[in-house]
Amino acid sequence: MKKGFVISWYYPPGNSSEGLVTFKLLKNSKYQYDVWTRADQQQSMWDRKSDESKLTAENVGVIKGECDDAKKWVEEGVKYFLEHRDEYAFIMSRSMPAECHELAIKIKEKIPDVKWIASFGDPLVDTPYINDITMGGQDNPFKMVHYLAKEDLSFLRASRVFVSPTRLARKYVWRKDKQIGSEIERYFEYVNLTTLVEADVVIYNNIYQFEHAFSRTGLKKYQSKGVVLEHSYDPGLYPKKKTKKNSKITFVYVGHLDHNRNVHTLLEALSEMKKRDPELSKKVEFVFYGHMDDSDKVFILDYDLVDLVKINKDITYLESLNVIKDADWAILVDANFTSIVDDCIYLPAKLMDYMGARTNVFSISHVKGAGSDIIREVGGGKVVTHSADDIYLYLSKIIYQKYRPKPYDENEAKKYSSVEVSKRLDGVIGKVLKDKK
Amino acid sequence: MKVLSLVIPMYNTELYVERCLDSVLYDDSIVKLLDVIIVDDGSSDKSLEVVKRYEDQYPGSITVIKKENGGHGSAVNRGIAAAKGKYVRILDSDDWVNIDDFGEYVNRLSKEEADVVVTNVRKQLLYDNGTDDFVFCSKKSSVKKIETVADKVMEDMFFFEFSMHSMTVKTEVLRSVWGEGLLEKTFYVDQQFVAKVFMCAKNYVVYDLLVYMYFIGRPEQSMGAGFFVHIQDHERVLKWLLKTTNDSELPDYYKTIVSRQVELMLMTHYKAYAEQPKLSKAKIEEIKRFDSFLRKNYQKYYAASKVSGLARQILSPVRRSKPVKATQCFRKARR
Repeated sequence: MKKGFVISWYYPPGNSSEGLVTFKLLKNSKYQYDVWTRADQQQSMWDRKSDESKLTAENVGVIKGECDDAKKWVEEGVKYFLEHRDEYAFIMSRSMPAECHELAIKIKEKIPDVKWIASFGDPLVDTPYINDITMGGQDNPFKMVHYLAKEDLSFLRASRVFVSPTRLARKYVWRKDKQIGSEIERYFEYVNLTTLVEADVVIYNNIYQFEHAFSRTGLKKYQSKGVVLEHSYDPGLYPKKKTKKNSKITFVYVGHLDHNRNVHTLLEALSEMKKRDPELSKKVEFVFYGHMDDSDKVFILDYDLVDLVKINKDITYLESLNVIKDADWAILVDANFTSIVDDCIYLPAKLMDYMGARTNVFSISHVKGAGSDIIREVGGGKVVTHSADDIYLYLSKIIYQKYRPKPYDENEAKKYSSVEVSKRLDGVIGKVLKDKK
Repeated sequence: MKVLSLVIPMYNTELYVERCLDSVLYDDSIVKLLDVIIVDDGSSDKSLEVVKRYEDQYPGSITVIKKENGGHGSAVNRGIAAAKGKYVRILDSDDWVNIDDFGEYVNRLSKEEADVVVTNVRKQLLYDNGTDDFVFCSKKSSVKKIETVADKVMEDMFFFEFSMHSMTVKTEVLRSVWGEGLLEKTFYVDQQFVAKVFMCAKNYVVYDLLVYMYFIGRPEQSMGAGFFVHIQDHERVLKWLLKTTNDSELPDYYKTIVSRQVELMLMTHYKAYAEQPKLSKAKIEEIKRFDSFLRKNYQKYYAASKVSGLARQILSPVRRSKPVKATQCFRKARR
């Protein structure tokens, strides 16, 4: 049986959300795959700590291309595929980054009859995030350093836990490398349009992205190619039991936060609560794993929330599933793009990991959107807006009134198990291959 | 007797109404003092299903009324008619109350005798990622005669202080002037509500409590560009207010307040037309009719509201291709 050639810049043991989504999806599929990914799985700002070789699947082989330069990685990928084209029945490109689709475009140019499934992690064109990147972002990596420099040195030393100079420097280099500006915008437009025109099937992870991609970019005529395939959780990866010994109510967040996706309103709500209840830290704790925006770290220091909010180092994906399972509530945060779009078009993959652990989800998001709709449909969570007072209300209910959300609906939750989602992917692949004959 | 009737007009807010009710019902000790009346104005989503669950859970405190769609005003009318509390207050179903002050507010109402109680409001500006506080009193205040408010009618904050979101009114006092109530199938009836309160109230008191959380950020809200879509409703409310100024039975302070209210609304009204990049023939006719109605019947307001300059520009036969800068026009008029 011929295999699928999957083009994915991120893939385990690299620990980015994008790679993990691909891993869970392929692992439970009935097809065989080779994943073309980067050789050097060094961490980028989007990665969490690596799980080394624990995340492997029997039906998936991994081929590593050059990593330090995405363009070179694309060229090598095309070369590799052309040399082994007889081994593959179809190709599947998975963004981000957009170079994954670029590689597929180049293969399609050489072999026009190759069957191509393109899967978008996020839309590329006219999205709030892309607009933010192309405008240069608002993040100043040295903001925190400037702030701390004004304080005395002991404070600076104490604050080192909050600051990672390596990470800040890496972020700066990443921005420089990306040549932020209109060039990248044009590149995204080219990749997006060519992919929608040339691919046989285009996968989006939620209906909002699907509609955004086809209607907002004026490409409605290609809508029949579109398929919605949500992110998934893998039930086989979780620990069997909870191991929590702590009596406090624990909220955890695992993953990347930045100046767009930040927890500022949550922290504002906590500072208000602490004013009214100085003993709050005896009742509840908030634990964050991974990168947090500098301004939020500054807020934690300014408002003396260090006893309530802990920022821990990155953990591996499997460790994160343990942490999520142990928590009373898992925090989900979407960027507040209310002034740009009404609904949230992003579906965070971590929502599925939270659901897989059947941990209650405290979601700070747009009222309507991909994640919010799923939480309401499946249960097990509360969606609040980006209003500190809204957050304050429900945190108070949780902490002082033992508020519990509507329990998980098992039948609904199972729809997002990787077993089910992979079955749907198999259906898509089967149809594409059938069309080929 | 219940202390406070909270009238909650509801239309397609299934995603918001839970927050509203969770905040109202947060403090168990005051729930028994509340008469929560949710008026479903013919919602087509699951709003009714959501609030029915609460009605079942709090049988003595929550009443759900279902009616055909008739607009915000009609829902308020039904709620006021059903109110059993000593005081009544309107709470929109996408807004909520501040759990920290709401309990104290209800307890103070139980001992209160003033016709109107004013409390602070916080606007939740989701688009701007922040809030805007409207604080009307920073210390304990005494009961004042309502006619004294006429003296501060020119203050910028006046219509924030005396708004539908800030005022709680004695139910029997409000009912004495309620008559046919608010206009049905009409937006901007909050202006009418304010006028009705000034028709009947004798005195008022301000509490230094933040009670009302006014949510701005729902896509369906008729803010900004949506205003012009409902401009005819605005005209209807304006005409209603103008008519009341001819009522000889209403006191002078009422006329002072409503004159100011009309003046501000007229400016907004003309400004909405002036700022349109292009006006259809029908829209030009519409504003022409209103302009001649105003000049003919309410010359005093026409002159006082300083909109004549703006009207001339909107109705000029050679209308500029660029929309009229309304603010400049007002400035000119003031000079």
